[in-house]
Amino acid sequence: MNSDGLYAQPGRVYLGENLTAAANLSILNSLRRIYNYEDCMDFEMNSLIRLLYLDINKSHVSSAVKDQVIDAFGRGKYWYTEPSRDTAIFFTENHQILYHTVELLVGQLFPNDTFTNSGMNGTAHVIHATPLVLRWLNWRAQFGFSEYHSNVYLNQDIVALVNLVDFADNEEIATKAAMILDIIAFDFAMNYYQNRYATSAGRTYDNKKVGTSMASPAGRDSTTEAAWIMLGIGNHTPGDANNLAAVALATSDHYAPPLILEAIANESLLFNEHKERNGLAVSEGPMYELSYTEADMMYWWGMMAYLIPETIDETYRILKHYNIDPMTACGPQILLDLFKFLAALKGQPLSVYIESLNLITGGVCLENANTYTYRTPYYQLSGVQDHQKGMNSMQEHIWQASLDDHAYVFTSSPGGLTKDFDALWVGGWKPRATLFENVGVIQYDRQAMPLEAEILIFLLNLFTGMKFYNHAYFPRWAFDEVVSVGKWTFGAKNGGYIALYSYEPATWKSNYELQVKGFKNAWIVELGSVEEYGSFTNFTGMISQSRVQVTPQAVGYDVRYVSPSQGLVSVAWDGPMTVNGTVIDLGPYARFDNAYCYQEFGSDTTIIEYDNKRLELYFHNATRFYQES
Amino acid sequence: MVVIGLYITRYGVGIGRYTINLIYGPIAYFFLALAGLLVIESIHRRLDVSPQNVIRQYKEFLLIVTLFTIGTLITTYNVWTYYLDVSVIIFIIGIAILWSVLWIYGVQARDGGFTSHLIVTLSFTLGLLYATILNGPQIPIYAILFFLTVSFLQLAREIIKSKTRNAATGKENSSIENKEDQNLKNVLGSLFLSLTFLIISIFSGICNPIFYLYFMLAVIFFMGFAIVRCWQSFRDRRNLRHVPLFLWFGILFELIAFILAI
Repeated sequence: MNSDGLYAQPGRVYLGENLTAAANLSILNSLRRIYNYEDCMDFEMNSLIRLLYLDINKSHVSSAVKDQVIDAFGRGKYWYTEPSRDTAIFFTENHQILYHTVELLVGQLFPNDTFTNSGMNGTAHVIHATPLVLRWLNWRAQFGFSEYHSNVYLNQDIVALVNLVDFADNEEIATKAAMILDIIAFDFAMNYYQNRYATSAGRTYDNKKVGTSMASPAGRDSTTEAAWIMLGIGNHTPGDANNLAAVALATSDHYAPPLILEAIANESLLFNEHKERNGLAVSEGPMYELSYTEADMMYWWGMMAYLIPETIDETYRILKHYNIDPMTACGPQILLDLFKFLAALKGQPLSVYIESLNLITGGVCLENANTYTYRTPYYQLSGVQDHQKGMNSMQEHIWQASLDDHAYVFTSSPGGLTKDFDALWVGGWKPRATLFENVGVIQYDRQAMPLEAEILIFLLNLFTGMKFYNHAYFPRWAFDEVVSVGKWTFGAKNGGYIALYSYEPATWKSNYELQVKGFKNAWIVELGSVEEYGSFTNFTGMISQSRVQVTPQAVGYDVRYVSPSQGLVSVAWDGPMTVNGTVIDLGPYARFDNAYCYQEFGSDTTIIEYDNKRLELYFHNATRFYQES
Repeated sequence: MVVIGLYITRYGVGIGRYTINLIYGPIAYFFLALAGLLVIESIHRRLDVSPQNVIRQYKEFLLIVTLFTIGTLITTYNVWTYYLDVSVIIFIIGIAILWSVLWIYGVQARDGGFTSHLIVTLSFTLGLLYATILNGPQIPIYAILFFLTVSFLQLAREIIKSKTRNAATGKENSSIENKEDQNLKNVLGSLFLSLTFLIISIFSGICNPIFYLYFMLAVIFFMGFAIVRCWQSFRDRRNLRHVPLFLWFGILFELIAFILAI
């Protein structure tokens, strides 16, 4: 406990240490966000509520500080339905559970006190938050995470869930929260490679994926410390003492992952082939009894489905009814007005007009993600299969081939509407990524859009970094050896080998970026190892002599690649992927499909088995059962 | 027109191919169109029987062939490298045949005037069809209607421009008044045909009929003015004076209508 950061202080209290003056200052400074209803105040609130609960019947937090914290909670805002127009974002998947959790726990702690913003007392807040918490937990149980594999936001989910496990009076909530934590731990076991959450992600950031040198590598995944605590995978770093989820897990007396998950994590280090599905397609709402009205709107808003035909009218209504700043949801008011204006000009209902912008407004939706991971001792190839190809993405990371913590490769096509306009590596235009074991074909292209959308995108690309290219992240500084042969670029690290092919001419822009002009390209990736090929020279020789036939089509390509390890790999922009004539399953996948668990998508029962251990999670009756025979 | 043609047929084509066509299409068609415009010069030169034209005719012929070949080579490169449909090459051959036929007609019929107007018109408007074929072998019905609309309007404008130019330079005289009346009838016919195709286009499955309607009404206004003036010019040729300008606005709004329609 060597940090005076806010998030580390529950750790001090848990260990029976008094807070330092600097720590007290961190706490008091954090209250500004809560008083001003600023974005991400829920992160602070969850850490502070944990602090209060852990300090019950103790006095490691001074009364003066505690009183201030309580005052801030008393004046806090816990849901968008409460008065006040502000910059707080309530609607993303992680924000939802963070706010529901703190509302429930603060309400429990102060049942009779009146909260000034809502005018409700604590008990009323508990009554309000309970069904919302349960709804969120049930959605995750049945449909997984829309912010799938997020190396940033799963960390926020964890702290809320641990708070619920530790402090919720409602046993059903506490049990289900523990079950969701189990599922997150299982997800880590399936997708972590060494120290990295080395897979696709629904939401991430450039600084978590891109490093420029060994001295300045990509940022540590926010979830890595939590993965180490839960499963013992990866490694611990003292620098993460202020990590929200790690501190919550380390100070929890009521949650520990069942031993089966740690056993699986270690067993699957050497080999794993894993498929899973997270999230729904928007059109599947009625199939799972989800409406497009306010009653279920948080599911859709949680996956950023604000401006799609099914939800746009209700989105506009909710924003207006609750006086919500649209910037906290789906963009500036002027954009919403522009859509209405253009729809009126074209004589179309808004829901019909917005369909024409589907590449953008539909693309940013975190719809059903079928992710695939293939791991050996030397490498891991992981990505989301055939996912919204040619559509725009805010923050998605589609695929990654990893040889170690820093030596990994992926491609992207920046531009369009992204969360951060200076993002060059996450978000942008989604490819058709098709992966099978150690081979992947990734095609970039997209269809044209209405004139107003093309102009907007062109201007965005022009003024946010001349984004008229696609590229590969290939950090030469991280590999033992890198060579280029024709259209292939090869890398070697620790006995693992990677080969990356670019159909269009690629040039090195830096020691980590291979850039290709234009928006259309086909990339092929193949991984190998010293066990399969012997020397790196043999690997490069065999791959560079393999036959590659890439035929441009009106949209995308028709790719035929004779892989030395797999045989003929054939895939186009549409249609199946085949390997030696066998059609490869690109989804939709089951919720989990691997050597340890098979769960149909939409089911709320998860059974994980390994060796003589068995974990059973029954969400419909909140039963969590673990046994070792 | 090539850019507009590419734009109105962009759906179903990836941004990669679309961008490539945007680069190669206008450049290639520029040479094909220029060759067509030189055909006009060649016709007029053939109609002038003075002996010193023989060498010039030969050089002109070579220039036409060279320009057309450049346009063809660029197109062929585009087709070959990016696997476009062979119908693009067939279309190029069609243009070559068209320029040849019009040249022969112009010389044989000794009618440099109307043939020139036709070639100028088609040099401008065929670019739209060329572009649609670059994007794919199936030409949407609305693209054909747009082509006919703008072609007839452009043809009418070319004839009127020529007439007003002749009137300004004093070339008109009463001995060819019957022919002038015939030209006016051709203009009116073209305008009515253009108007017809303009209106039919709104029913041809365009994406934004409301947008198209706004500008269609503007085109009808300008064409209506032109029709009235043309009709009045049977009595007094001075009524034609502003007609080319109105037809120019008509074409402008027509092109905007095409762009916004899809």
